[in-house]
Amino acid sequence: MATASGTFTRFISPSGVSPLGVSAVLGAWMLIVILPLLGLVLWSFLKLENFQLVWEPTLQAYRDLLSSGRWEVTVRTLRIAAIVTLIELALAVPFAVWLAKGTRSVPVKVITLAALTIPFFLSLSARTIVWRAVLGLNGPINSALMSLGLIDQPLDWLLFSEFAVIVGLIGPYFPPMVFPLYLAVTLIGDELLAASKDLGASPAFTFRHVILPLALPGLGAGFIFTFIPMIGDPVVPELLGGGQVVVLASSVKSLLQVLNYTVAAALSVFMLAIMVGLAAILTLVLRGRVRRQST
Amino acid sequence: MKSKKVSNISRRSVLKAGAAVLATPYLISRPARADEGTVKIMGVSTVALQDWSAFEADTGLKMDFVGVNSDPGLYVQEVVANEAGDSYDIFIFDGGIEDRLGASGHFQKIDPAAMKLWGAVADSVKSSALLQGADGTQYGVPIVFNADSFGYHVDAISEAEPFSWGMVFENEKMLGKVALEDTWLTTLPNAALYLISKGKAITDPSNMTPEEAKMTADFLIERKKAGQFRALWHSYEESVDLLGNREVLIAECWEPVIKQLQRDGKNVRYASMKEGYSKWMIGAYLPSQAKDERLARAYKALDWFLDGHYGAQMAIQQGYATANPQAALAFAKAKGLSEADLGAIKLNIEKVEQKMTLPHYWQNSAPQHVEAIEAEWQRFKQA
Repeated sequence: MATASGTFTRFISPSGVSPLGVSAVLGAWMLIVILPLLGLVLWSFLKLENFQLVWEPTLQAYRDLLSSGRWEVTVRTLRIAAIVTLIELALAVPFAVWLAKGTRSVPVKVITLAALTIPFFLSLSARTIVWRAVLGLNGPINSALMSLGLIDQPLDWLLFSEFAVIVGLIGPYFPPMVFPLYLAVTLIGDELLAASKDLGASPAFTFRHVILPLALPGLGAGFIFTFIPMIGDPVVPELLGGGQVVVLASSVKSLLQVLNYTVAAALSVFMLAIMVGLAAILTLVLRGRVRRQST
Repeated sequence: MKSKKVSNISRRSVLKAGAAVLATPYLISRPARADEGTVKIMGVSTVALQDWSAFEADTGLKMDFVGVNSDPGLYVQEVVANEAGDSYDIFIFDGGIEDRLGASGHFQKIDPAAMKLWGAVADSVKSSALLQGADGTQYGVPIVFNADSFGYHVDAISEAEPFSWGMVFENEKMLGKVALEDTWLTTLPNAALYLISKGKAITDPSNMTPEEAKMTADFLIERKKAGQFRALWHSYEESVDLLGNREVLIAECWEPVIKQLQRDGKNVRYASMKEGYSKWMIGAYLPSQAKDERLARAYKALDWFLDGHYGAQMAIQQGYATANPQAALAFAKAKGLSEADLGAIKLNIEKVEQKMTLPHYWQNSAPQHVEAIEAEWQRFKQA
């Protein structure tokens, strides 16, 4: 191709791009992304009877979504994922800053990074099931609290509750939050921190106005690696929720076991709508901030 | 009445929906076309033996057993959409599925004359609703079955057996001390048995109408709000764990769970019930594609399942019942097995005769209103 033989520095204006290429990308996009989504939306307006699709538009799947309380499952899943992500942020940001800039000792860094990696060699269920012994009615926490005389009945909300699920999720999703943050903070030049200090900035001021803005890409990546997979993870909620903290993944699995594709599709469309809504709110808020700053 | 356009879920539409991903393990493991001396079975793992060498020695056939889980949806998809009957000689699955797949022509009628041992099977067993179509056509051969109830710590209950299901579902002394199985398949009908004993109108606990399912779920939600249930378990190990470390004192569970805990020295028992049991039946079904030599091979294999070796192994290892227990006993005696093993088989004969006589109910993995029942179950879990 003529344009490709030039150097990479040469700018190709949109009008100079081959229309063939544009339509190829557009076609692939339609085929891979838009078409399946449309299929999903279509299925959500049909219904199943005796494992058979009834080709007749209906809102039945959405009514089922409301009457079976499945919409609440979506909201709960997002809530749990958001709470855990916030906890991870609060824990991971100081940890990553310390690991990247706070400690100069190489052995400490190596050991810490290894400690963050090693748990991945064990399956998530194996790591999670341990919490049941710890948080159970006859577990060490309840025993300790009772022998200290702080409680006279074991606390039953420690296990098989949303609390237990949140506690259980913190461990597995800590490394995916720390690693991108650690990389981002490592990339901040020491001279920037020194300059900030020389100009009289307090550590808090440096953190707020130098480290945080520069670590933002790491923060974004950390958010994506924790929040998004957590939405689709049934392992911890099933093991520690005792079947009473239902999340999206389990709900969809249960639907697919009886081949109820239409309600599964409606659930996915509902989820999609929430995500689009959240993204829209975020965009509006950010745009508002940018406008305020530029005036 | 308005006519509805109904289409079978064809292979194509399933692929289109992306749902084929779910069946991928089966698709990949699908064996190539049958060779003459092999019987290919797609069956639930419960019925599998670790070692099929006795089968191969007795019948001269090779066994190719592909294990699947008890997901009726996936199973229907394999049989209907993926035409598994082309390559498998026998399907072994939780009974109930034959109402639909028999009527749709995917399973063929059983020919009693083709098996030597059919006559040795008790009528109460082979006439199970889980082996016959809605019109009474015999589609299934009984392989393994049992009557499930709940396990409990003996020191926690002062009353004597037999119990009411109210012990599990409405028991003020056991608030927060009860574990349920996390499935609509058993827990909803068990609760329905209790409601029937309280005078509620439910025709068939294992094939409830949407209204009956709603009533049962409402009751369960009320008991959940009262704090009756500690947890819902999903796996064998979980139920062993919950009951074993006294996280709960009563657990709806499978009989092998109690066998294991007793071996570990726990003072637990498997309850006998007043109202009825969660009776299940795993049947063997023949695909309509099986004909001539292939069909003869399948019947030869089924005859082996009805004979003593298989029955003895199941009774000793799992405590599960099989169709021809007398043959199992005769086999065990002829082989000179230990008194303990003989005892396990005899106990099984007695227990099953006693439990199977109660009218309610046969587990049904494919009730008519499965979508509504699953939704009601989710509503309970969500509440």
